[in-house]
Amino acid sequence: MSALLPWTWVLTLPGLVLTAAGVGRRPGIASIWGPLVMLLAALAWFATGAVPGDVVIPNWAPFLPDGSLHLRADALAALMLAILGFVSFFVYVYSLSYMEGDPGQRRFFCYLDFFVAAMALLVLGGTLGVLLVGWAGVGLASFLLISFWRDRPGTLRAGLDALAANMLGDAALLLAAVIVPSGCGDLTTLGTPRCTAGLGGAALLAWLLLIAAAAKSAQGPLYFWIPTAMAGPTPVSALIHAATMVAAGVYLLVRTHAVLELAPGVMLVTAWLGTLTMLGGGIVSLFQRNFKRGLAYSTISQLGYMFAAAGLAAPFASIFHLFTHAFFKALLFLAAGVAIHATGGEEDLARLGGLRRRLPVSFGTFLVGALALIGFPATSGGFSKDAIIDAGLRENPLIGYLLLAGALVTGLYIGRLLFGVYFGPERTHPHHEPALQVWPLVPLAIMAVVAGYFEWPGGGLSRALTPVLGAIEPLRAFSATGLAAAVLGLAGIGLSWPIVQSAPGATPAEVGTGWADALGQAGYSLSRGLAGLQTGLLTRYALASLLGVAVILLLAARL
Amino acid sequence: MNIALTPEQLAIVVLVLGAVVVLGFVQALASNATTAPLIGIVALIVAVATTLGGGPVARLAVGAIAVAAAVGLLLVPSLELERPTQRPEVVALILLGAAGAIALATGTDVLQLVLGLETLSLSVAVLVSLGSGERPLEAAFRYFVLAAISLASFLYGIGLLYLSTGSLALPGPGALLGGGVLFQAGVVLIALGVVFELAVVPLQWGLLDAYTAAPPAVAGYAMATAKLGAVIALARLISGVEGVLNHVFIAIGVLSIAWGTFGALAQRDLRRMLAYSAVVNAGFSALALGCGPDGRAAAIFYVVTYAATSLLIFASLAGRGTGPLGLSLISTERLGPLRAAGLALGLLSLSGIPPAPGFWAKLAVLWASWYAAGVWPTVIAVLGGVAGVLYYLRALPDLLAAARQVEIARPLVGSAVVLAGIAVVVLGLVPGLAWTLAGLAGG
Amino acid sequence: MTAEAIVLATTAALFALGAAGVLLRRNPVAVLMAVEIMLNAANLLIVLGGRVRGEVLGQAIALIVLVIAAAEAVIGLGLALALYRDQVMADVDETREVRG
Repeated sequence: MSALLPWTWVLTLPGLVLTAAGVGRRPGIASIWGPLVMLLAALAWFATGAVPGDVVIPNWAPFLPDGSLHLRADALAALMLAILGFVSFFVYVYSLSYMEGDPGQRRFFCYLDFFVAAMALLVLGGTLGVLLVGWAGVGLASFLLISFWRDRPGTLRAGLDALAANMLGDAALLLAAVIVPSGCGDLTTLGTPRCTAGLGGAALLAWLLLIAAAAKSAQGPLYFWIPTAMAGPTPVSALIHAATMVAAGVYLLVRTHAVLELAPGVMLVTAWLGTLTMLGGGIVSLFQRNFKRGLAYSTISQLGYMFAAAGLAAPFASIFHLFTHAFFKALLFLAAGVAIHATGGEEDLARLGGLRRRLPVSFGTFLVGALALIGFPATSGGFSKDAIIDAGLRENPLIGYLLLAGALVTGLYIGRLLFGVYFGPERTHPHHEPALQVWPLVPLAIMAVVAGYFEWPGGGLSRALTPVLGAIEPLRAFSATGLAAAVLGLAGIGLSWPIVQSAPGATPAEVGTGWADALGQAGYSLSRGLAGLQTGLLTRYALASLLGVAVILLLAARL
Repeated sequence: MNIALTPEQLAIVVLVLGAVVVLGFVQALASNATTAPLIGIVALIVAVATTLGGGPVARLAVGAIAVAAAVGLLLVPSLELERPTQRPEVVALILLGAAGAIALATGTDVLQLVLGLETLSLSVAVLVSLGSGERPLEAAFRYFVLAAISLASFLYGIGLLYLSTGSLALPGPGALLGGGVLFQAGVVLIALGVVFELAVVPLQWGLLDAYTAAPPAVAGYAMATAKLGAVIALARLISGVEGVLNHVFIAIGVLSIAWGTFGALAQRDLRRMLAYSAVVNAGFSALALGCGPDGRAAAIFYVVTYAATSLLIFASLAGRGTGPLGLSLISTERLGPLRAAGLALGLLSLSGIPPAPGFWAKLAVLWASWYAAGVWPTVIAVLGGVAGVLYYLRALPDLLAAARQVEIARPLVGSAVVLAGIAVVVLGLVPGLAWTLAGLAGG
Repeated sequence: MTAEAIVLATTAALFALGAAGVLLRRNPVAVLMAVEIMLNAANLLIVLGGRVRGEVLGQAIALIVLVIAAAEAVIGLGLALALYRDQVMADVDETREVRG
């Protein structure tokens, strides 16, 4: 298995080709097997002794510090592949029904296949160069999928927003890839003093990695693209903008945690960035009128928890929460998708309500997801969130208490969505729940509850990841802080009921992304101004050229 | 009298002879659209064959320029010409332009440089003007006048060089430090004369308009050939006279990246956007040229991938006319799956998305720039490079959504797209290959 | 001032004159003539170089440059003719469809 696992990123490519070529009675039926095989391969790797495997093709890109094509299969990669395979398989099945009848259905599955391949390559990358290939690939896939519906206005714009944020992250990661000293491209050696000494310390590299991760995971000021990214189909929101791609930033920080730990200043910034984003995302979610946007801000908030953990020198807690979050957040989105699909595409909270009677599975699974989200004891989210809060209280008590307080906010916003959509008067009459959309919700709901038991009791996950992450603080389940967080979460849900009752659907104007639009406008104006200099007047051209030559001559003479 | 021709000079002779042959039988060749281009391709193959025994510079220059010219020839039938006799003339012009580019790239003294540059430049000027309507003529005339001014200053530089050193040979290592004011001014003017073909700030005006309004078949060929010739020539020129020229090139490069990026951002016309893109890419090449031996190798690597990408994009757009092309569905539709794929791949490469070759080329330039040019030029280059996604990829969703529509069949265009596509794919999957070739040629 | 310096200054002045002509004249033929002046200024400089060195090479190069300039002129006039065919008062700055 260790020799095969590095190649699992190609598994969805045959599906891509077959679906593009039109094979299969139903578009996409050829594609759903790729992720399943990926999941089975990862599980088989764990089952057969978890032996790390490397594939190295040296001198593939000789102009890079480490120009080899290096694919590495280790516990972290296998875990990510398992998550990717599991969630994407069910998203694919769900999409068979959700996207039925859409003229671009084939294109949709091709894009998904491309995404899965790129994400797998990202986690299998052994050097920054290979990781970059996957990183850019998922960014492209995200763009194509957000702007998938060509006949709806605003989807291209939303996609370009995502690209803009991505840009900054890509720039940072590109810089990191070229400045690393020769022979230091391997991700596992990045954190060694030999490699960081050449850069004057680890801080520069750590900053670049943080910026790249923050852009991909929508932290801090770079959050603006996720709400608008909800313009894409809901399966996309579930897979890419909740479970996997946005988690790539967290993955990057965890993979290069050694570098981060050499730069305590950057660590502190990371922890605060995560904490503030966690709080901010949760609060802004309370002001959203759109169902999916409310969940989108929840994703931002939960990613904040993961970033905080990374900044608190608890990479295992971070990746553990990534693991559990993938299941319950995808579940929440897909359940929401059922509701949206059944009401004919209605996403406005003012027009949704009382759906629990006619959409029982959607309601039940959404409830399970909500409980996992607030960290209800014995659910997966309970274990992972507690681990993070514990790390906070241990390393930086102020942050710890803020993280604990975040549980209340979390309860508030998810309660608002839960009650607003599934309780109260039925404002839009829903159709039935299609089987193919409902069936994938169940395994996700099961995982949302049991995923934590991979770690407690017995420490199975942390043992598997110790070779990659170093010594790991053991999990204290059912501790006082855990109970406190659960109580706060339930209180939040409880408090949200009267809020929903008193002002059904009434929220202030959409808070959130105006400043990014303003920045875009400024850039556009600058661009138009510059293009205006190309006047078409030959004499002006000649003047500019001659002046330019004269200036260059003068400067050359002075140098 | 012993006339021994080096392999690259022999290649030039072959191409010129090919042009003469085609011109000699213009009337006969005018009737069939594909005969003249095929004769031209034969001439190209012979030219490449003659250089197989030559040095690395010759092989790279002739090989790359020959591929560019071949794609150009394959696209000749797609040109909308006023009279059928113009077709063989276009073939002859393409061959002559290629010969000029090879002379430029492989010349050993400044006179060869100027002769090659002029042959290339004049051929391009005439080719650009061949399209329906006033736009191509307008752009071609502007380009021509600016090229003539550039030629005049180039020649003035040659005069200064000759006056101060008595020789026309390319300046050797360390010469710039020793020479006087006249010599230094001469070298700068000569460099700027070649730089004109690159389309960098402050000399980008004419080429920007020319690339916008030329027929797509010509635009791709012109971009590829001119940049290949210019960059290879400059790499050899600078390797002798580093020092102040390095700073000049880094400054020009960074300015061009910034200028081109902002100029492209708000463009709604695909052709205009691609023209500004040419400025950005020229900026990357110029920046790399100023970064020492590693940088020069990176510059050649960059221009080879850029040439392949431009050829692919314009081959995919061939036959769409010289007017503005919107970035939306309406004008990119009916390209057919092959050309849509070609255009998509080209756009991905330009925007630096791996594993398309543009990604590797940018990395190589950034790497050289970090160690030679320092922090700020590299940061500007990185930002300019990634900002490309905002304007290149804008057309991609519509392009892919419409890809299945039936295309209007045009002869030989498909093979041009395939040829350019193969080049791009190979360069992308095996970046080490082109890098080794570039390193041998530039170092 | 030496003779060489005078000639050098003359070439520079001619070059500048030609440049001024390009910048100030609007008629396409006039612009092309101004460019020719610039080319000839450079040519004069090359001849000067040959004279200073006492070589024939300078004159040979000058003849080659004359050929290049002639080729330029042919193509330039051809393009100008095609573009400004029917216009009595042709203006290089007037046709402005390609811009921005």
